[in-house]
Amino acid sequence: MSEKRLPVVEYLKIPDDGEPYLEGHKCGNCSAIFLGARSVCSKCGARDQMSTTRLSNKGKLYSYSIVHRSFPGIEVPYISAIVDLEDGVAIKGNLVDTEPDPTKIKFDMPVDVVFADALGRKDRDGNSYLSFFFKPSSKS
Amino acid sequence: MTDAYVVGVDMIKFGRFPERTVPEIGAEAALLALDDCGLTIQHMEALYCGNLGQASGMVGQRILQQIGQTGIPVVNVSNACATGATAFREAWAAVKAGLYDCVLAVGVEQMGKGLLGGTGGGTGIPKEGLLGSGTMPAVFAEVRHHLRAVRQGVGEEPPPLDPEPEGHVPDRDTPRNGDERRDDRLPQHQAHVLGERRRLRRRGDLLGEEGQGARAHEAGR
Repeated sequence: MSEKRLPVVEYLKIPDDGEPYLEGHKCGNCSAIFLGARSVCSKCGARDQMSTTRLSNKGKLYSYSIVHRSFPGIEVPYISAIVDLEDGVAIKGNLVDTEPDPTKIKFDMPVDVVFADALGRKDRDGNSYLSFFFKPSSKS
Repeated sequence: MTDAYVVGVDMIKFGRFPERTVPEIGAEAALLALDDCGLTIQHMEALYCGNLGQASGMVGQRILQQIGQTGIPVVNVSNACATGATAFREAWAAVKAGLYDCVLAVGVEQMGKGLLGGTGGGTGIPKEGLLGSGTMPAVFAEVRHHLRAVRQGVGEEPPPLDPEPEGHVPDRDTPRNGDERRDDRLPQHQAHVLGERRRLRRRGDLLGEEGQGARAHEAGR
């Protein structure tokens, strides 16, 4: 049975045909890319030249925090991570398939963006959600 | 630019005080600071009040209700975790600019329980613990030593003043008429400030002037 999942955030796009992806906004004047819509480019100030773009699925770990205490119902520990995607966008998500141990995690380590169910969370109407996560890139 | 000094400072002990209101708690701290320098609310020419929990609730004005409604300008400041620092900075900047000789800055907050922050609410499902953590401990732990904005290229120094900037991007920080940034004062601003100072001297509200204290007390009523 395939369950239709909703995107966990508005910048996660699930096309009818094809793989899910993260959406950014690119400036037609200076090519800077940002997460989140805006009408003025935050880098060069150009007006009304932003257009949507697919974000890269690869990046480097910029920073992280291993969370040991949280609100009721949230499973800990987990790794909250900020990743610099290859196209320059910084994005926050969970780092998975990684031991929550600072000696095992290195700044700038390469990661991939993967898409999976949102930890089984459902909304009041019983909908399931698709989320994104970061996973250490496998050495090939 | 005038030199600015902190002449009095104090704080109350940390605590919850569920039976007290935010203005009452802020008023206690304000009175302690005034006592520390031996001045009164009548000596204060402006109040800068930092509070986030009741940000549109006129906390500064309600503190003055407690300690003296002298009719001075009030600025209520809310700026997330920088609320208190911002209230202090604005008070400092006003003195440096020569707008006032003596101002009062107060910060007050009545906290709830538990973690601050967290990516709750919104549509769909909670994102906390799913898309990283939005709690304050995690957010601040994830800041590295240099600014995110600079790394992304949006926090750089503004471009030099150029009569014909490429793409004609208006820059709000660019002063008009070729004045340098960070110049102490533009000519028209200087005239306004001098006028302010003359007006305040007539009110007798300035520090250190013999016999002004009693007149200031009357003027404050």
